[in-house]
Amino acid sequence: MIEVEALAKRYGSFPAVNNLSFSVGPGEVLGLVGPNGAGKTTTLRCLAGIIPPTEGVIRIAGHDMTHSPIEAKRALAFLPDEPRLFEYLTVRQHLAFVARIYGIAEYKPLGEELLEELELIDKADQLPGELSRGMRQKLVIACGLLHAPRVIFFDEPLTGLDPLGIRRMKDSILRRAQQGAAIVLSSHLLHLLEEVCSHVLILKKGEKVAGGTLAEVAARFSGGETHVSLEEVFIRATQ
Amino acid sequence: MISALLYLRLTSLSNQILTRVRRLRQPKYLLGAIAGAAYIYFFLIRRFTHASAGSPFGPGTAAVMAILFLSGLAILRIAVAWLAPARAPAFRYSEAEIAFLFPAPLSRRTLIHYRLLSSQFAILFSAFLVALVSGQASISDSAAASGAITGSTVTKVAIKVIGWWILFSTFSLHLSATSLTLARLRDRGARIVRWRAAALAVILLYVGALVGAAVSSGRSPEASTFEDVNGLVAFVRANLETGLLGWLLLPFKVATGPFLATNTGEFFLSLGPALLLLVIHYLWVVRVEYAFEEGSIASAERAGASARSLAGSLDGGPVPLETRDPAYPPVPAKDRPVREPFRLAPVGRPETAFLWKNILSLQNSLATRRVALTALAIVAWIAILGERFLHSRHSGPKEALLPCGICALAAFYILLLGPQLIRQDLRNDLHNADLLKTYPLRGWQVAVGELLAPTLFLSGALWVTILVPAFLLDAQIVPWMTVSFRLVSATCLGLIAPAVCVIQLLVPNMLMILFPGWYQASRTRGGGIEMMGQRMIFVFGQLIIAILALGPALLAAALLIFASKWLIGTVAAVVLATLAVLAILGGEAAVGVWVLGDRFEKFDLSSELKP
Repeated sequence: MIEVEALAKRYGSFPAVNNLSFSVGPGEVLGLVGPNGAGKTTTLRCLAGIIPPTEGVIRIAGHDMTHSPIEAKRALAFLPDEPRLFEYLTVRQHLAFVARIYGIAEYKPLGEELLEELELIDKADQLPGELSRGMRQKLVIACGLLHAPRVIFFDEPLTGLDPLGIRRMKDSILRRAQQGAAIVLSSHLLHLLEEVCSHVLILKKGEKVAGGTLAEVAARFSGGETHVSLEEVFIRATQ
Repeated sequence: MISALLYLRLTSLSNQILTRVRRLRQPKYLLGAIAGAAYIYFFLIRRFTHASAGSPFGPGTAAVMAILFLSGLAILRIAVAWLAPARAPAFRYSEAEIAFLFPAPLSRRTLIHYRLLSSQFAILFSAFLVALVSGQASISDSAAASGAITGSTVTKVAIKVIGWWILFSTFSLHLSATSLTLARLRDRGARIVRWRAAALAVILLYVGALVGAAVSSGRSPEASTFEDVNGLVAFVRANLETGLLGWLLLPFKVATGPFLATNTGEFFLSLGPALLLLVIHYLWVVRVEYAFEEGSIASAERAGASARSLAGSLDGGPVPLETRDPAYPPVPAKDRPVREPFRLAPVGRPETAFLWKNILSLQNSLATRRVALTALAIVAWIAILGERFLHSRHSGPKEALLPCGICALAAFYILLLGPQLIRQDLRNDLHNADLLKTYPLRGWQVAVGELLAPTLFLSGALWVTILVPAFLLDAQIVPWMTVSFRLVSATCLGLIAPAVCVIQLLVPNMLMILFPGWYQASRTRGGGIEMMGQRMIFVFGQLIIAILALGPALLAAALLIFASKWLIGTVAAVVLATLAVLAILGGEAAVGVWVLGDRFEKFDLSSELKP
């Protein structure tokens, strides 16, 4: 579903991401971790087609992001950590706008369902400025999921959510994966990754340090110990 | 404690300067700095070191008018501060200042001192700049002849800068004190309407007394008064010393004393009362007991959210959370939802969705008072210019010519200023660029969609300015304005109007995409010399590109009409020229939209907006 081969992204002479290869299959949840400045967000933005990679190939649902960006983007959703919304569109109008962009003829029942699920139904006619940060984040999620994407990128998905919202977000991620979506999520919250990820990719200074299933990565850095937490693995891998 | 705060300000300032110096390694900032420095040298410093004779911006009517205009504006601002106090807080702090200073063991008075101290940097810089711009610091024979300050250049500059500094500081303190006082009254449950009514009555009474005293004094300015700044200064001084008028203007007389001083002795004599007035204002500010913190926090949150929305999450790292402490007041929603312009069907051209979205945004923006006031000012300005133009050039049936002249001027201003005022296109969505780029759309589709709403709006306005003359002008007024000619001309111009609007809108959008750092700089306050230069380059660049884009079409139209009207008649020649213009402008617009979309697909705001 997501295939990345030798991805590189340079800003001038600065290599933000270098020679990165991995793949995420349907139903898999890949946790992208690394210290600050490791290249996580740059990687996600390349995968989502926001910025062009300097080198490498990205395929989303079989479509090459460089040569068939429209088809690739039609299959994906990118949910950034900071809610990006249109100031003068209400919650419901946001859904109408996104539906038109993706050409979703019967979006209304699905939209209402999402608003219900994300507890936004009471705020449906309010502008983003009237919503709390958590609500705005939920609206971004509703917009992202409206076209039933097969590939979803989450950048710090729990930012600004309350405990109930966090629980629902975790459930939502797992449910989408069970339904066959390929998910990549970038987060510093390692306990979240342990709970929802099937795979993990550790980056450091733009390069892949380790990758594979949680068990594989843990085994590599456990040094013979048992029950090594992801936090410990992360520290060992990035030091 | 103040020393720590002073350290913060000075260190921040020096680091800011260092950052800007380092940024000059980027050619575009270097170019901007050169342009800004050249402007400052040729238009300010050079005037300072050379006599002002021959300088188009030297002391003269323009400078006098500028001073009068600014004085009027200042008085108006004070009146507005009392009659319609802004929602803005008395003191503005950044989010970082709030995070560090508000929980710190600092008294409210120390926080005020810090704010006042911070504002002094800007006030001092402004005083120096205005002293140069107003020509007051220049050495000229006329200044010496009219009894202006004698002494070394440095003394003259210092005296005038101090004069302006006292004026600006007193003005700034007055506004802060007014804001605090009114907020405190409101907090205490005072009936603010009564206070405003009382303030209005006092202001009207004061203005009435001023006018009465000025009329009874029999002093009226002669034409020569306005020929140079010193003549005006002398006139103002003379009026300030008159009996009743002098008393009525005493606060202004005291505040402007050092500024209006003609010699060093007089300057030092007037310095005492002026400083006393300044101190009184300062005491007024620090003694008003009002919890300004809430307003300052809300204001900082709004400013922070706005800045984050543009550049926040684009630096490759997570954005700091908006820590909405329960003690902090929520940011008030400034707008309400508006009625949808039309029903957006879920299936169809995606560009229509952008049109729909941007019309919604436009409707909301147009509802703001600022735009309404700007529109009113433009209409008034056009009316005055139109009336003057027609009054001076025609003696015929003015009833029809007046609205036609106004329409011509309006069309000019719509094309010139419209794209700057109506920004509901890519410029308005710069902060949402990442989101737009994840949509399954080609860049040109996004560009077309984004340009639709402002094009529609500006074209509609242009069509009005075309239709009015088409109805009013007839063969009785202008012999060759036959019915067929009017009909055809109006139709042709109506067809051309959207293409011209697209070109005009493409220019600022393209500049924004090509130079997002510059564009952002042009929308933010301050920014130093390189930013000033960049803004100038931006404006001039826009003008030149627009001329280059429209030039070929106009030339082709003129040549075609000239060459063909003898053969096929004027009406047919106009139609032919219109087709040529549409072909050229349409081609330019298509290429422009394609390039804009292509650049939009490729550009990366995160790397562009890094300092």
